[in-house]
Amino acid sequence: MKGKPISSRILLIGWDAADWKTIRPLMDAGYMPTLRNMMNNGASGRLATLDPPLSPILWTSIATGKLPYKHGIHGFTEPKPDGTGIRPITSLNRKTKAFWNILSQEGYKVNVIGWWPSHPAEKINGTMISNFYQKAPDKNISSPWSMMRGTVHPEEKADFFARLRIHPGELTEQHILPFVPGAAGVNQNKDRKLENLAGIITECSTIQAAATYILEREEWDVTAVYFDAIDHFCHGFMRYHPPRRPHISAQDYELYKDVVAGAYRYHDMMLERLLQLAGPETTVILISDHGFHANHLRPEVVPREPSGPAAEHSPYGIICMQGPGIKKGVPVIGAGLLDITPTLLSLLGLPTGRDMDGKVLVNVMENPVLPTPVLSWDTIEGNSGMHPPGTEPEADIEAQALEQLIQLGYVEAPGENAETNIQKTVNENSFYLARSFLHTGQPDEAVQLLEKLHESSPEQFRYGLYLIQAYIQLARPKEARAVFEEIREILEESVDKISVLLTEGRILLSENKVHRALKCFREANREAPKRADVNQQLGWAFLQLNKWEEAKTAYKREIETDPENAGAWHGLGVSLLRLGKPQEAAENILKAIELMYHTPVYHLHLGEALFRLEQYEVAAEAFSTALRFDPQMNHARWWLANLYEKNLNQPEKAREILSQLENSVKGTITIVSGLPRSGTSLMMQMLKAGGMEIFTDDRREADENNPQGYYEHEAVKRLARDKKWLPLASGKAVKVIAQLLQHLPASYHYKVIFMERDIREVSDSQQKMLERQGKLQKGVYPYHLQENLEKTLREVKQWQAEQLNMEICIVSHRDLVTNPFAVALQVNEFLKEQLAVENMALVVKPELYRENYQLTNPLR
Amino acid sequence: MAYRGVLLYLNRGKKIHFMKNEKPHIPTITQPADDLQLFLNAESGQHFPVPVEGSLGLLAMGYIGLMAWREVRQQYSKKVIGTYSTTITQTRNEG
Repeated sequence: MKGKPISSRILLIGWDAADWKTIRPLMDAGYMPTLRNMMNNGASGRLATLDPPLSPILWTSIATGKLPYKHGIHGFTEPKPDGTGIRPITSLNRKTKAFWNILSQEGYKVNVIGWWPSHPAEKINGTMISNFYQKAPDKNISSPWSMMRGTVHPEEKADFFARLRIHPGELTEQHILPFVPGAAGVNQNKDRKLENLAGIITECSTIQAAATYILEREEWDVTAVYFDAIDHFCHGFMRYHPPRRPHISAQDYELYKDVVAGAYRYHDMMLERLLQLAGPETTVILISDHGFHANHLRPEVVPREPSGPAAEHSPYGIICMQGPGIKKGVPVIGAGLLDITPTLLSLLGLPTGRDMDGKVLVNVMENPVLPTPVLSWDTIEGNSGMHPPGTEPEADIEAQALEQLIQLGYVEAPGENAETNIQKTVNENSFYLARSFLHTGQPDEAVQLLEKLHESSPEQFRYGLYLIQAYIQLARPKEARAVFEEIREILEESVDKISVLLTEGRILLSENKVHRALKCFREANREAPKRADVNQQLGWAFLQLNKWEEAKTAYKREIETDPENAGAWHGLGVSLLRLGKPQEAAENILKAIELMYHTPVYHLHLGEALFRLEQYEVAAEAFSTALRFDPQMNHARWWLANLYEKNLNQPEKAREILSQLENSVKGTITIVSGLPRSGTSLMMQMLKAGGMEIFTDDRREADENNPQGYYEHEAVKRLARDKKWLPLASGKAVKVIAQLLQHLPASYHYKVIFMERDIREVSDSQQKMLERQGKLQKGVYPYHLQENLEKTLREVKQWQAEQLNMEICIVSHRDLVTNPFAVALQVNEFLKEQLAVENMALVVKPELYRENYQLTNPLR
Repeated sequence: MAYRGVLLYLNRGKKIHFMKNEKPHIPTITQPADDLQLFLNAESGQHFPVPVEGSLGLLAMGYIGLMAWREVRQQYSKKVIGTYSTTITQTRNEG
């Protein structure tokens, strides 16, 4: 099972909330030489986080390589099994093996220090010191400071490690002044920040003391050490970090502006010592679970709700690797938290588990040889040290740990009623799990949890907001609207106007009311042009309307506000792609991929851009990557088959992919398409008369523009966002205007009857229809209309020609009017149906052919 | 204002490798006979001062810096308390 190891020893260091945005200026100023040196000698980049960005959940995902619904850790607290209240989250609820369990059962010496959550310590093949180790009971040094049982494994080492703990009362001005030079001027009766600072310094120093002892004095193959201090320093003091913002008083700013920089410098000092002790033969991996907003994106106010401080977290942590097996000076691109455990196992020559959600970071490894993954490490028996089911901590968990979570704002102070406290904890954890489902594309599962939460606690508008998001993802706009109306009042009282506008705009988009949605987004943009997300929503709305230039501008503005917004880089790339600029499109989509590698649609659009650039081999690679992340993405499969068939001269590969497609194709849909007013309604009438089943809701009634009816379905207008209705259309005929064709998913075969009509007749007909509806002043001719229609038609035809899942039958409108029987025969043959062609032909009434260009406008 | 811990950090570049064979887990400490000042001795032959008030540099060194600092504090306490006791006794005797 085991392959050739690349690394003989690994040191994994966790810096909670470390962020390159803060680190880079410090490195440039020479304040973090150890990390700078590590970057120069190894590989580094961003590490994408998961949602919700809450540390116990994230560090468990890091340690298991699995998403929260698989590992079982969903929040900061958990109910005590005896029903007497709540306690900080323990390792007992983790339902899958962490890397230290896998390594223990494989005979490696592994040490774990401070990992969150890791209490009670597991009986691994090495030393484990739980995350309750470093907490001091109070600030009085003379108070008893016992260490609860279960903090250290093996237990006989507990007394020794207890003596390595540092109490805040031991610190002197020498420890405080580097962070707060003006500490002497702080009135500590009113301002408790120095006390908080001392607590954080001692906690991370305690971890450092234990880690250095283990690294130097014990045998080990893998040691993992976790520091939570950067997160705590930042929650306490990032608001004072330069540049000063108007709402921060000058006095506080002067006092505390150096704390965050000091925190990073101190971590760099500790890092240097860890690297010295690990030695050059060790592969070192330094990571953080998320970042921390350090610039204009810092929220002025932290939401007053459980986990509200997470609003200060940014979506990218850091990763830096050096040592044997790691390439030097290369960027780590597209890494995520879930990749750490698979990578760590691979470096040691161990297989990953197929049930892990992460990947091995092979691009940074020298000569990687990956053993075949096992199905799941959970089913492989061995002495893993994992707690057997039913284990409970031997001592009651210290209230101090809970108190710290309350002080940090992550959990509410529990009330008197134990039952209420338990229910609140159960609800919070359920909420976080629902968010995780939403983040990983499982809105169905999220809805089930969120509906219950919203029903039981409608006053918690957070639940409602996420439920709306889930409904939108599931293309259930009515439900989204209903929840919004329920919580609108409380929302308007509790959150700012912009958030309400953005929420309503998203709902309007899902309702296909794009222009009204645009109005909301534009208003939000006027109110807060620099706020993150506003321009992205605008861009998305413009994309829906095929307004590529406007979309491009909006996405560019979003990037100015937040250069780390992957969605905005992707949106900009798509806009440029549609504007016929594939080179620029590819460059921008690559930036999105660098930020969020795991998003399949980014690779799909990159593939399309590369195809336009005639970079066929790389395009094929991009489509293959999209498919690897989303095996259901038939769109990428069609592109790939097309490339192999037409551009890469590999017909066998194309056939193989096509056969996969045939197996996954869900049915055939007949599409009647063309520009509006090109005769699509007439063709729909013919098909109906011929006996074909029509997919229509009959909501758009016949009028003088279309006396025989429109044969449309409202759902089709939502095609760009909502494809759930397609199974209902299978085997039927559907009217889809030309501009929407590209939104048809690749999971169906399409037989497209494309109506062609003289473009001048189309534009005349459209204009007259608008005049009759009073939407256009009579006689005002919209310049460029014909030109635009021609351009649209050209683009659609070019696109259609590239689609392998579409068969096209072009029908001339003039032929249809002048010789309906022949056209009916042609259509019947194309569809391979037994339609009543005579009935089809009888539908055509030449007197309704009002815009015959040759007859009515001979001179134009 | 000079922070010895930070200076220790900023002046490095000279590697600090403590002797692997040190036992028990206390670094080699040199104490000049006429002073309270202690030093941590590095493999390189350098001596780093261990101030009684401690420093971030000592904490960053981990357990070895912590133990050295605590040792210095202990010795300092003994001496100060001893001096204090002597002074009290002398005062009483004089009184």
